[in-house]
Amino acid sequence: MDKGPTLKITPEKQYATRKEFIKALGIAGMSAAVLAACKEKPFVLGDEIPGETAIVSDSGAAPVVGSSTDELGDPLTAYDNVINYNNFYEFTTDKEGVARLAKNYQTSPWEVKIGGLVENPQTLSIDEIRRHYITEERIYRMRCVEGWSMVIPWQGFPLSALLEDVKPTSEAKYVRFESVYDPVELPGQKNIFYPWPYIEALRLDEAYNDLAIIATGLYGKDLLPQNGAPIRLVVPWKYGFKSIKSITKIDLVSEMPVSLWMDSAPNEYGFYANVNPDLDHPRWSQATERRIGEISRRDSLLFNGYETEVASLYEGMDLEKFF
Amino acid sequence: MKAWISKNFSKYWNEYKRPLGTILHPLSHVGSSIPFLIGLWDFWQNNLGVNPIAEITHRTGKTAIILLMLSLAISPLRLLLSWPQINKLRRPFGLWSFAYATAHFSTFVILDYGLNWQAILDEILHRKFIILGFTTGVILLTLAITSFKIFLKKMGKRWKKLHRLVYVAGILASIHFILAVKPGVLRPWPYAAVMLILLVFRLSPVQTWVKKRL
Repeated sequence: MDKGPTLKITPEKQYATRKEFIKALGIAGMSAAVLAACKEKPFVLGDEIPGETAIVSDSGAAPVVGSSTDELGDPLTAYDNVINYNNFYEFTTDKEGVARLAKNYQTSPWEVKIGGLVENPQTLSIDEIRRHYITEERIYRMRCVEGWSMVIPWQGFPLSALLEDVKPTSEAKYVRFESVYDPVELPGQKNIFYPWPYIEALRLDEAYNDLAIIATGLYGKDLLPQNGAPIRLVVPWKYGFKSIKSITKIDLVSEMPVSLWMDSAPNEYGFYANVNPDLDHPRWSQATERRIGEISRRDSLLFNGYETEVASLYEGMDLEKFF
Repeated sequence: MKAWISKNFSKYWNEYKRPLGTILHPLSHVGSSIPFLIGLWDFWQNNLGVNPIAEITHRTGKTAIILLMLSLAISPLRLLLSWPQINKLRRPFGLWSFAYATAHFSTFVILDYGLNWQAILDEILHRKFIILGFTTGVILLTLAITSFKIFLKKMGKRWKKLHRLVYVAGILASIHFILAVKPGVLRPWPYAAVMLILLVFRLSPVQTWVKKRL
C-alpha cells in the first residue's frame, strides 16, 4: 500500500529559525516587489538556509528525522514551531500559550480503555502500547480549520493494527475517541461553553484507512503535552481538530457519535471535516492556507493532498452535505 | 473625614484639571504611538511569535478597538468629571484608531493575501466578519477626513449627526472581533462589553439621569 513519503535516513538537519523568517518578512514587508515574487514562488524555510538551530527540546538534543520534506517536497515545519503553536483548548484558547501551561502536565502513568462493540476489549497502559506497537515515521501535512498548516514528522502506528487486535463486532460502524477529562489540571475545561471531554470519531472504513495513525511521538521524540501526549490520533486528510489529543478511551459504536465541535457549533463543524478548498467555513474561506514559516498563502488541496489515498471513502457522497 | 477628603480633592481637582487637560493632548499622541513602537521593536527582536502575520493582524486590530473606546470614553469622562478640557482628546484617539485600522486592513491585504485582489474581494464580499470590519474602516475613514475644522464649519449640524457614526463603528468592530474567532473563545467579549457600556451611556434617557445627579 502506498504510504506516501519514502523514508531515507539523512544526516541530522538544522531547521531554519523564526529569526530567518522574520528577517525575510522584514525585507518583504518593505518591498512589494519581493512580495509579488513570493506569490509566484513561496519563500519556504528549508535546510539550505544556514543559521543557528532554534530547536528547543527537553533533552537538549536536536531531533532526528528521516526526511526533510513530505512526499510533495514541502519542507518540515520547524520543531520549535510545532511545539509552540497549538490548538489545545483544554489548556487555553491562546495557541502560543498552550506550551507554557502544558509544561508540567503529567502524562505518565496513562491508560487507554478500548471497548464497546468489540470481541476483545482492552485496557492498555501507555508503556504496553509502546511495547506492543512498533511505530514508524509518517510525514504528514496538518491543516487547521482556521487556515494555517504545518508539515510534521510523526511517530505512530496504523489505527487499523489496534482495531484488528480488539476485533470490532459486525454491529460496529464508528470509532469514538475520548480525550482526558481533568478540569483540575486542565484549566480550559472550566470553560462551560464546551461539553467536555473532547470527543471525536471516524467511520469504521475511515479508521481502517492506512493514513489514519495513532501517534506517540513527533520529530523522533515522545509527544510533548501540548501536542497531545502521550497518545493521539492523526488523520491528515481532515481538519486538525479531528486528530484528537491525549486519548483515554476508544469505543466501537453503531451510531454516529457527536463530536465536541459538532455539539458546540453544528452549523460550522460536521462529522466528516475533510479538508476541502471548495467548501467554505460559514465565516471564512478555506481556499487558501498559510503554511507556518511561509509568508504568502498557498492553495489548499482537496483532502489535504491525500486524494489518491482517501477519495474512494467518499465516492458518491455529497461533500457539501456531509461536511 | 470623608467630606474633608472630597472637599480637598475637588479643590485640587478644580485647580489642576485645566493644565492636566492641556498636557494630555500631546500625551495622547505619544501614548497612541506606543503600541506601534512596541510592534516595531518586537519585529526587529523577532518577537512576533510562530505566526507573525496573524500576530500583526491581531495586535493592530485590538489597538484600533482600544483607541476607539478611548475616543468614545472622552464624552462620559468630560461629563462625570466636569472636565471640558479633555474634549479635544476625542480627535487624536479617533485618528490613531483609524491609523491602526488602516494598518490592520493593510496587513490583511498586503502581508496576508499578497495583493491577490480576487481572493481579497471574495473574502470581503462573502465573509460576514470581513464585511463588518471593512464597513467599520469606511466609517472611520469618513470621520477622519471630516475631522478637519473646515468640515466642521461647512457641515454645521450635519457634522454632529455624521460623527455619531462612531458608535456604529464601535459596535461593528466588536461584532467583527466576535465573529473572527471560534464559538466559545472569550477574548472579544471584554471589548464588546466596554463598547456596550459606552454606547448605553450616550443614550438620552441615561444622559438625563446622569446630568440630574451631578
